[in-house]
Amino acid sequence: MIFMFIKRFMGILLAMTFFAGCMAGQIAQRRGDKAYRANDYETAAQEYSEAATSGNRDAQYHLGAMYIEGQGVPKDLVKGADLLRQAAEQGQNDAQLMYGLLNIYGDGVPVDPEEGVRWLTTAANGGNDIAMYYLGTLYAMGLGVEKNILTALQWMEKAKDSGFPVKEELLTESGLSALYTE
Amino acid sequence: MLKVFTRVSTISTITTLLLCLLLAASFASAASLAAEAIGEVVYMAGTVRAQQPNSTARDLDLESPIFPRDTVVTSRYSQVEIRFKDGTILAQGNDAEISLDDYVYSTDVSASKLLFKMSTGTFRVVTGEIVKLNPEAFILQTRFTTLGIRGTQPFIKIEEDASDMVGVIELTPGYTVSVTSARQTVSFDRAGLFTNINRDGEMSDPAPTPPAVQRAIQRAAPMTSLGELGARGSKDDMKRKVKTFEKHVEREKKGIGDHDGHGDDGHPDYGSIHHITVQQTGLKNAKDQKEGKSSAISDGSSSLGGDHPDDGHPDDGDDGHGDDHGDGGGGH
Repeated sequence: MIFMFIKRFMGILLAMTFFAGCMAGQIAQRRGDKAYRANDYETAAQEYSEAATSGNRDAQYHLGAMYIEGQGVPKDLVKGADLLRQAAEQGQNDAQLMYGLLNIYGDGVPVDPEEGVRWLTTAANGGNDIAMYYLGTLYAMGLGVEKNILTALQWMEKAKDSGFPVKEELLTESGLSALYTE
Repeated sequence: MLKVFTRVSTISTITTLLLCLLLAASFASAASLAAEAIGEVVYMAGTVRAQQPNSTARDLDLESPIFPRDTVVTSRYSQVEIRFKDGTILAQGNDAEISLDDYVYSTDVSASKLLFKMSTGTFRVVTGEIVKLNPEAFILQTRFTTLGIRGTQPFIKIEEDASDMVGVIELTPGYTVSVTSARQTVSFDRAGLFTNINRDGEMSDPAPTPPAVQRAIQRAAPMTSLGELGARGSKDDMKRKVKTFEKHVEREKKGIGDHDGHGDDGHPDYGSIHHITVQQTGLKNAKDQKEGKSSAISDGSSSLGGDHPDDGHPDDGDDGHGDDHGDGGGGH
């Protein structure tokens, strides 16, 4: 009986600690957002760092992007890619897009176009129109996937329907074929 | 009778011809003005007017074109943000006036130039291509100073009966900003510094801009292009703000599409992709603000009206002028 009580108590305590950690992360992330909008990138990086450590995926994404750009922190592609991977694995949609692109171009990670396409597809399936556009170009080029103009066209059309301003010439088979010839 | 009819007919023909000529002239003038537009309004709140040297004035709205030699005037509780063809962004606070005396953005590097004269109010500038192409020809003037700029984000605050205040919010590493008055020159080699310049041209030593002052300046002249939400305004202003952020997102995405998804180095432009996320957050906050949701983050300000007490200037108590900062001859 006592054992059951202690087990439950410990469970509740763990849940509360986890919840408090999440809340603290969210508060630090919001402080980071505010500092970022005020162009105070150093403070933003500090706040995002605190939030990212507690597992806040939005903070991981922003801080990762800041390392990639060298904004408020020294430019560090490897560190940026690692933070973006953490955010992407937690389902942060924008991080999935950016981590996918890092893999395709070998920025901060070894070049791995197939892995890049996998992340871009996850982001696109989550509604990211920029990821849809990049997938269209990758299928048209045959980079990370087998070249397929029809699939490329479908992604371009999806990107346009989702709000990405796709150029007219990329919305036809002939246009795509002409632009992405071997 | 026939003679009278012929005369009436002749007068009528001449009148028609004159009307046609006038119409053609006005179309030509409109077309030439449209061709000469040097920028457009990307955000505004309240009442903002542009006036040409020949005194013709027009009310501005979102996407209104801006022409060379316009004088842009904001009234009380008003703000405007203008994006120029080279990517230079100018944010202007309430009760402010700037004269866009000279602006040329050309593929001919030596021909590109910019000369803006600020007479009163709060301003912020994010420099664009002209600074990169021809830095010597990018000149901002206040009543008492001339700013030489090399890739940065300066702010300027000019108040009647006070010294001019010039500072730098962001500075590209390795670059400097020089502020020159009739008597001396002060240079900034890092961000976060400011100087006061009095009417005799005496300048205070560069000192760190107090955070409260920087916040007040950012609230007075918000840069929505950087994702700043700015203050709440009227219902129409809130609608404009939502449209502003929609346009920013659209513009950034178009930039990615226009360059086939790549930056200058052949790799994706990660900065633009991140900036779209920031602008999308701005859009969400603008929509929340419009609908009166408490989740909207307003960068510390409650409303345009609330931000501007009796004198129309925000947070004057800690604005870096006057007794709080009696630093270095910036006397009033």
